[in-house]
Amino acid sequence: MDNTFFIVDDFSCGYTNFKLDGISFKLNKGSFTGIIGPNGSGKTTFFRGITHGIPTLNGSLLLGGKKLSNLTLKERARQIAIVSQFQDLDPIKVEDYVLMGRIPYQKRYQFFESKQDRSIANKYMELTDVLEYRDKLLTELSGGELQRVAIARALTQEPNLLLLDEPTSHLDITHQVKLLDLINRLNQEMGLTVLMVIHDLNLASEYCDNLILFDNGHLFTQGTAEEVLNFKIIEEVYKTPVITRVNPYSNKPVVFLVSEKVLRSKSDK
Amino acid sequence: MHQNKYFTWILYIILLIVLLLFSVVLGLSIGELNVKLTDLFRMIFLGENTDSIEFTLITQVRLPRVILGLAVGGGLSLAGVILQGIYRNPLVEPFTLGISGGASLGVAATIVLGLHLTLGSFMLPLSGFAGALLIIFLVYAISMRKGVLHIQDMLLTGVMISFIASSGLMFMMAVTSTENLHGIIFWIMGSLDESDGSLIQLTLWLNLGILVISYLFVQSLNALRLGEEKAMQLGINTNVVTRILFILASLLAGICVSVAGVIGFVGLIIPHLLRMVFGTDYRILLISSFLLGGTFVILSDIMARTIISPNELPIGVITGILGGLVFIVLMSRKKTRI
Repeated sequence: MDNTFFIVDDFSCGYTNFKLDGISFKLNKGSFTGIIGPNGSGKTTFFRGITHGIPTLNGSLLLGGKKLSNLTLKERARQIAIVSQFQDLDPIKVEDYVLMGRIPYQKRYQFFESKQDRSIANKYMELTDVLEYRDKLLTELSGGELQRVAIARALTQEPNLLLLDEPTSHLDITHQVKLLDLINRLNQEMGLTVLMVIHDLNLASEYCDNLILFDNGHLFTQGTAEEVLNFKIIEEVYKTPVITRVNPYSNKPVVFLVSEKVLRSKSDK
Repeated sequence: MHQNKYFTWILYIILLIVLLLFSVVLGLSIGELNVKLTDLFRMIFLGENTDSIEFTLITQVRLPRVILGLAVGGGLSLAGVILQGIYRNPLVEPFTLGISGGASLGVAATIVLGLHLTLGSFMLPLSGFAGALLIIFLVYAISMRKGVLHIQDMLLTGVMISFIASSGLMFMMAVTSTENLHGIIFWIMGSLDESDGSLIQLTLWLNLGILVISYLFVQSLNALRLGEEKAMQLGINTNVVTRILFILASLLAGICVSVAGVIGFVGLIIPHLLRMVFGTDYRILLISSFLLGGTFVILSDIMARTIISPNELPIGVITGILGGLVFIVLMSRKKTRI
């Protein structure tokens, strides 16, 4: 059975000074895919292209058989929710922020949330374990709490595709694991299709079913963690020496970096 | 929970309306000739003494001022709160974008050319409004590139055009006669002394109309608190919405400044005060800004009329001093950032 849910077909977006060119891949319904690549390879630009933040130059995006460019912004926001880094936060109450996830379902002149809106927001605040912060301000939360609140808001949009832009940056390892475990649960239990930009190759390996590697505005390769996290591929794209091994516990590939310091001392011997 | 929040909002709105009515009553009774409250109520509600001097004074002189105060104060603070919302900057006020500069320039040109004498005094508000619109159009056009409005660029452009406009104004003031100079200064300093009753009514209805229209975009204003990109990801067409809101705020400021001159600070301080109380939810901020702004200007006008009575102070002086003092006191008490 064809389980393809999201099709990116020869997609190009961006501006003259930087653009993504000819990106093509498919996501299955309920899959968990990671986008990796060096700084400036176009990972975040790709997300902007999907959410209409920057102009599409060529190609198309198909979600559940529908062309994204034919949807209104609100229709799109009901299909795709994105969690990205916060920049200069406004002091908004957590509950009000999560309720903003209902905007795509509300009418323009609807001043008050419906009971249904509130119960949906409540459900996802409970699921992401942020219910206790509901009366706090966003500005009062820690990095990990903020990410969970942002996920609660994204889920409140009841999307079919969840995009995450580096959800673990600025988090310590405890919070990294907690957050990705949460996303994994959403993926497994709700069947939510997840596409995540992530810097940490080992976290990507550990959590994602498939990886897509971007390099300099192009899609370099895609496949399972074992296929993509090959030291030759990583060295070519990241231009730094690495060693890959297998995590004895999960049997997933692990990438070790090699520092210049060690390289020098080894070659001296 | 939520019912609670809405209930609190309604209580506050009632409180603000009571405050407004209180300031209206004060505005009608206080002046060079004080009218006792009991006499005031008798005249208005029982129809007694309607041929007295007091009655004429109240209905012909004070009532129009109070109504204009409500319209202008409400309009300016509503314009302020809307602009602060689209720019995500609590320090923007209606006059930051050069609207007052444009209006002043228009009025000064009319006075220098003597158009208000030959064509009629309606030329003053008309030329003020035209000047304001011209500046807005300029700021808008300069900040528009490839069909995208660069909203943050507008601020800088507005400030620059403001400078140019005020230099133009100074030029006109330097070359014109003393009599005209007096007229220009008097107008710039702002006053609620407007004799044309229908103009006052028009101002009130237009501003109330824009208040109602602005509520159609209250959801967008709330979403814009997250920034343009995140608002767009929630399905808000930010490119269109920010333009409409900008035009609404500009119209408000243009109308107010062309009728009452430059009454500064209202659009800055009133929304700021209300944010301290309500937080940043625009559903309550829009209406409460209008109500409290009106109250503030009516009260300021009472002071302007009475402090050096029988002479009158420019109302802009009062709003500036009063607003600035209240603001500093509140800011020094408040620890957290707004």
